[in-house]
Amino acid sequence: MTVSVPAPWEFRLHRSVTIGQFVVLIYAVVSDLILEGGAPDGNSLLAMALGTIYVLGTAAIPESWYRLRFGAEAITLIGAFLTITAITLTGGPSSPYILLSMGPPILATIYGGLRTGLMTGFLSVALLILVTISQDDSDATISAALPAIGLYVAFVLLVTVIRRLLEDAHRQAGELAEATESATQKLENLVEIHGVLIRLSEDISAGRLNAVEVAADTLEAILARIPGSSGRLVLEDEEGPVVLASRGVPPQDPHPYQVPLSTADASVGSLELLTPQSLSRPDLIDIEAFVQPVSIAFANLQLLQSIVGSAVAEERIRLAREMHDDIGPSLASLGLALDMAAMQQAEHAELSADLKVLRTNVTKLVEDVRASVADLRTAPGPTLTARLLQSTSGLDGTPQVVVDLEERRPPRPAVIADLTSIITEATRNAHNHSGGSQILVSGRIDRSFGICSVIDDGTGFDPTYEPDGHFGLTGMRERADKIGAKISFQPTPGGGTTVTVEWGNR
Amino acid sequence: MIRVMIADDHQLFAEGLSQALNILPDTRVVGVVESGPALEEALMSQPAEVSIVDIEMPGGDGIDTISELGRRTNSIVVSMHASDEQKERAQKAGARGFFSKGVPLATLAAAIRAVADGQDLISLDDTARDELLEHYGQARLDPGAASLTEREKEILQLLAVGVSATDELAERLYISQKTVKNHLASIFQKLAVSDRTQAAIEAIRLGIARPS
Repeated sequence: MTVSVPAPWEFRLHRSVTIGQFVVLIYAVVSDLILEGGAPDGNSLLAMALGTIYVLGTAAIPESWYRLRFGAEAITLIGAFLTITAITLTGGPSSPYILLSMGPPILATIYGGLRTGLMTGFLSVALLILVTISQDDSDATISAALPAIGLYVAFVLLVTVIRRLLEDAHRQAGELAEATESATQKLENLVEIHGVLIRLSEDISAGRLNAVEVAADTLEAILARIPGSSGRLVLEDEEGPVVLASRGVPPQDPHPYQVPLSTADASVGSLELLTPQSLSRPDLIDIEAFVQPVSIAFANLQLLQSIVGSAVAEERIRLAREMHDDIGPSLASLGLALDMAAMQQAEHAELSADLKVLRTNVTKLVEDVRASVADLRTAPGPTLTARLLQSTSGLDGTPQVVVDLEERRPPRPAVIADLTSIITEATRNAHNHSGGSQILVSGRIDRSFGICSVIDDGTGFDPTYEPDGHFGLTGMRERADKIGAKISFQPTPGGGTTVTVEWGNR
Repeated sequence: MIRVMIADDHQLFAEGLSQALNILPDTRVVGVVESGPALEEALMSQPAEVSIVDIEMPGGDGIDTISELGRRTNSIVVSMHASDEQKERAQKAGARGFFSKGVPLATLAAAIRAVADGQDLISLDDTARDELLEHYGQARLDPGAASLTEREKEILQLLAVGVSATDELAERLYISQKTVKNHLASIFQKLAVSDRTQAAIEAIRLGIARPS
């Protein structure tokens, strides 16, 4: 781990040494004054000044200077010269300033480690010996210097041990902080995964147990983690890949990623992402961890849907048979009875009119039953989103086509093919003629109703003008009429055209 | 009079349709069966100009039966399966009309008249079909019933209200009993009936007479 600011332990040790040096300086000055009988000579005054400069200097120099290359060595070397000079001026080994010479080796050890500390210590001792030799005989000097050498080495070793202990503690604290940060991140991921699972659980409780719902919730949760991204969630079905959800507008210069959705023994599908910035490996690992429970949910859902699908299919057939064999013909019979009554009561105009109104309602009921029987007997097909992704897949290049629909359930079989044709035609027109950069197909879809808009940012056009064989607007309107849908052409705010098709009633 | 055979396994609907067609002056249901094979068998003994046929019935598909029947009757499919695919199948099998079971009685009656007259409704688009059905909207009485004289209609009205004795009829109409008998003989011939009770019923059905 890189540390860019002074570690707390270095600051504390330095402060302790500084306080110690002040105490030693005061002791030395006072002792020297006593020895000099209260009238210090020039050497004593100079020694006081040098000692003071050293102590104040080590206290005032910013710690960052110690961290410069050879900074600690230079500062402590100067300190050693100052203290040894003060000692030399005040009696050599017997100088009251002798303890002050411990400061530089200790500071060197704090900031430079054992080697720097020992080097500074030995330098101080060497200087001390040289000073002593210059003042006295060599034998006495060496013997007098030995305690000082021992004292320096002992101090340096002691500080080194303390330094290592504090370094270890600091490193462990750093590792602990990293572990805490990692654990916090994992916890946040778990909370988000838990959120998705809660939503899945709510879907199940609300009876919205379908892959489209699960995919939409999952995709929205993932894209919320990567702002500016778009994505698709693709499920591997027996009949091939099926796009269950598509959200967001692709960023410019996107970075594509594909995250597999798989369980221990099967591949379920994949998550396709287009992100504005590249994702780091940890980011991708996070996303994989995020989709893991969803993969299992998908696998279970597929299994469950297979089981439920069989049961539902049987129930649909039973219901269709009951409606076809019993309810429908009974209603039709009632209609014939009303026709007979109306004919027999032709003389009573008011009664006859009422009977005809009743008859009209019964006819509508029979037609509704008939349509329901047809729906029930039609196996559920691909979603409108999947159909549109398929039908617009050939529209490459600019403008880019983005399909982003909230489809809770596919529209009824009776209308889905015509809806697909209308929306595809509108998208193809926008792609070929709008001159824009992007086409967004968005809306909200459910079984019996929905609204879908094809929005382009092009130059706009006049929907009342259609050159021969162009645009297919007439065909779109005819299809809309056929399924009872409304189609409108409006200018898009800011330029372009919005084609909206709306059908059914809530 | 157009004779109609109904093939539908839903008893309530079949009986309701039978009653409805029988109150019309120009259609008479000559049989109601519940399956395709039963329809084929019934038509052997009782000819019918028009057959109303459901698709899903026990013992086989109604459209297959229409294919088997060929030109022995003019078939109209009336079903809950009024899809384009089934309509295409029915047309290939030789059906002349195709309707949902929700079809109003007046529309179905017009369709029966049209196909009995040799029209092929199933091949027409909706607009052309509706125009043709409008043309066949009114009941067409048999030539016999249409040729009844005013005096014969007076006698039928008296029969319908329960006056059936020759002398009483003669007294009410201020004519001789022999003349009454002559009129009755003519009525029996024109309405294809053999007695006074049948004549009264037929007169009521045709809307010529009222029971009260």
